[in-house]
Amino acid sequence: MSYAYLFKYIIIGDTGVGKSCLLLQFTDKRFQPVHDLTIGVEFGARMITIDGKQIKLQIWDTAGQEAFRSITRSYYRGAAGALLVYDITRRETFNHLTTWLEDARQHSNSNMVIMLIGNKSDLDSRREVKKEEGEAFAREHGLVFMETSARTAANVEEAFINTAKEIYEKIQEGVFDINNEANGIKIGPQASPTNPSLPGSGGAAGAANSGCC
Amino acid sequence: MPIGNIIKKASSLILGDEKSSEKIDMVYEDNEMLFCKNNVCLHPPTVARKESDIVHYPGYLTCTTKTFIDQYNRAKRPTLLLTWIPNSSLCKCSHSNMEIRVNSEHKSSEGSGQGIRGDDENTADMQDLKNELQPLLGGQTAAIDNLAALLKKNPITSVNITISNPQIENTNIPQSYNCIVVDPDRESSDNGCQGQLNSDGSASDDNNPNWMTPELLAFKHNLVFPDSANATPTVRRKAVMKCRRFSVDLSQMRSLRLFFNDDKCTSGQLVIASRESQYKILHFHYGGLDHLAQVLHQWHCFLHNITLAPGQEKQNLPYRHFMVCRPEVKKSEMHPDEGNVKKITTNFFYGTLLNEKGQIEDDLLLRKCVFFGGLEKSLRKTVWPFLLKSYSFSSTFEDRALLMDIKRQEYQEITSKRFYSMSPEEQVHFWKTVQSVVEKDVVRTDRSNPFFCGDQNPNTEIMKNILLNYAVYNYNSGISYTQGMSDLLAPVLCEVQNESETFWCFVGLMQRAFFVCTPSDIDQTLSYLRELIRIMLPAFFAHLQQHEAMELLFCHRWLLLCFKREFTEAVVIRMWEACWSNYLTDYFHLFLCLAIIAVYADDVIAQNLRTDEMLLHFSSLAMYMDGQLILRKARGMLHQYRLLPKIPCTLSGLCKRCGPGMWDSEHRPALQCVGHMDDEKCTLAMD
Repeated sequence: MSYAYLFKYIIIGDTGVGKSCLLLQFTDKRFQPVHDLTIGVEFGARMITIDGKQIKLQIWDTAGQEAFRSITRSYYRGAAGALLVYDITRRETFNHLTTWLEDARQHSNSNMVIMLIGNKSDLDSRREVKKEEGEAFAREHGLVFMETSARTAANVEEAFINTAKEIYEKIQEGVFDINNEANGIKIGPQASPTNPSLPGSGGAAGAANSGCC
Repeated sequence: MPIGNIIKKASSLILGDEKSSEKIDMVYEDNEMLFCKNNVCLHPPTVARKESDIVHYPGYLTCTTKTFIDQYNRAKRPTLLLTWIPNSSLCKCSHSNMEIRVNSEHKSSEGSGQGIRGDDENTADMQDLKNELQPLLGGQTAAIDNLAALLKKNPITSVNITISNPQIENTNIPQSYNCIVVDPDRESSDNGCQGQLNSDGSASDDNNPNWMTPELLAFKHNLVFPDSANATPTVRRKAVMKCRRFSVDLSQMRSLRLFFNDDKCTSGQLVIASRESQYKILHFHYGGLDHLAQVLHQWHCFLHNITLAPGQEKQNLPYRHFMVCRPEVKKSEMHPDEGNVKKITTNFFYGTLLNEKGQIEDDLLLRKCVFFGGLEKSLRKTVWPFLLKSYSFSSTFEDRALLMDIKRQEYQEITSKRFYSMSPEEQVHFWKTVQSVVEKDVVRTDRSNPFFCGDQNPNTEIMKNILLNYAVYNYNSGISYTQGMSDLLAPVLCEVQNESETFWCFVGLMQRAFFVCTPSDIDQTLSYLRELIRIMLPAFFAHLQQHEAMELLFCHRWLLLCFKREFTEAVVIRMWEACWSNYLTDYFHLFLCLAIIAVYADDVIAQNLRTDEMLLHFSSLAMYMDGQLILRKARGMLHQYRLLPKIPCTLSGLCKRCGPGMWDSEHRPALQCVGHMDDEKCTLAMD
């Protein structure tokens, strides 16, 4: 499927905060309470539309690689957006945000859009972190904030799409250099300057029409 | 007739000219269907650890010629249109009255006992089908009567591939069409089907006698995923996500690649990569891929001819790459002992390997047999503790009984230490840093394995205890729990079962795992792997250099979990055992990495994939690679490495740790200094 831009996202945060579940809810619109622990990186992708333009989100869900810590920071390389996730029912996951944020800021490009996510909002009875605290942290560090529930899908779409909107606005403002792929943005095949002499560049009739990802 | 000839014959018949396969100047009609195959699966991206996790979306694959007229110079450009249509949209009433289960005779149909759906629904389905197929039909439709008349004049031969017996045979359409109605019990409903087909009208191109209507083929072929193969797909059908129709102009794609994963080279995957690195993997579980290869090859020859005609330039060739990848290990690339060493059976183990006192005198023979042939499943519980150094090969039955007693006590002491000997502060710290994570992880480990599934599974509790005790056991050495350990523990627990014995096996296993490594150990291993790639796979090494991908991101999970998530469990255990045997090398895992790259990385170089694309490439191959082949290849590469006359000093450590047997008595390679950075010392100088 053709798209105007491809944005690379990464999802980070303590173990068990629901990173993979958020991804699955966003890409597959389903919640899988029981799934295997993520080790390494797993990929998800989905097309969204912003301002009438097709944008492909390529999402890297990373976890469980303490052994390779020094190296896996390179996952941040070339990410346009990051979802920094904590679990509202576990205070310590909120307390670790500073470390995650430092890590992200240190190893990513300075324009990376970071969205702070307080996940598991459906478990309000077990809440340990107030929404206001999340908001305050986000304000203090210049992040966008949202509480989500991968279980009920509340705000999941919005979290991913709002991040994309922010990236898109930055592109419009010229903050992102879209020709530098280190920024985590690629121009889709449709928007890229096509060479008419290339075979078939005019043959849009048979162009890709893919179903998934 | 050899299968190749059958394919050749079948394809030439399909192409309408029996002689044409020999020549390149065959003629293709526009909208000609060159290939069709039922039950080609798409697997939606899911977190799949095991074969049973994979969701199969069976569909119908067709490959049709198409001529595009270039809008700039009006030149005609022939291309192939590849279309995959999910079965769900082809034939929604398949369960009730259209299912034909293909058995060895491929003639019996299933009586599901379900009522026939209403005609209205059928009509609607057929309309859906027609709409779906419209692009393929080129806008021309005709009644089935016309087709029947055509068939009488021109018997059409199709390639029919049966599931249980994946051979290709030529069948005539009228015959195979008949197979829909062979079951007398189903006569009435089948008639209903036929009537439907008639009244609804199938499509046909009058001008093209070789044109087979997709409808007819859809009826002819088995459309539903067979119940026989694990039956998971049918259960999962209700899943919310759907794989939709997929249609691409192959000339617009960056590469097409065929991976064969069976010895007969009939089944495997077709991997389509678009120019923007989007991948589509179509799975041929039931053969037919060889036939597609043939069709594509002929088409390729045909196009090539056009391109080389005077006045046209070579780069106009629409297909940048078309590669058939037959992952075979040539006899010459194999270890000379390959195939000569048999799996260790219970009889061989107790009769030959163990002496009357219970000692393993010839441990080299045992390790060699494990390395090449593996172990009978029932012996794992007995032999793994040897391989994982719980006790020595020379221990007697008595020694082991005594030792196990001591070890059991020691294990109990660790458990009580965990419960009673920690200060309150220590307990809080332990809970925060270890226990809370372990508790979360054990219920996320190997859930699809029946041994661990379900809530409150006692085995999950045992896994938790072992991991917590392991953290306590190592408390002072700074190693505690690291995510991923549970992945390695689960298969051991599953086989050994006894908690204390599993624990000590796990201790041995962790000695060789990455989790307990210091960062410099990890760097050392990665640099060995880099060096091995440099000397064994120079083209791939050059690619890595070009893309500054020396950190080998794509290998990290392979090494960390010892390939657990790259292959299905049965073959992973073979790999583990081969590594644990320490036969010829302590670093067999690195040779397994090399083998994966050797077999599956041609595409990476050909398409010039960047670092992140490489990561995507290899992670999309997880669970689809042929593990047995990788094992053979790895053993072969180890053999080749051992034959090198010179090895770089950077790899000297790779040999140093190995016990006797690494080098043959008559051959010992020379070590050669390759030069170092200022702050490094050559290992040769240090020795």
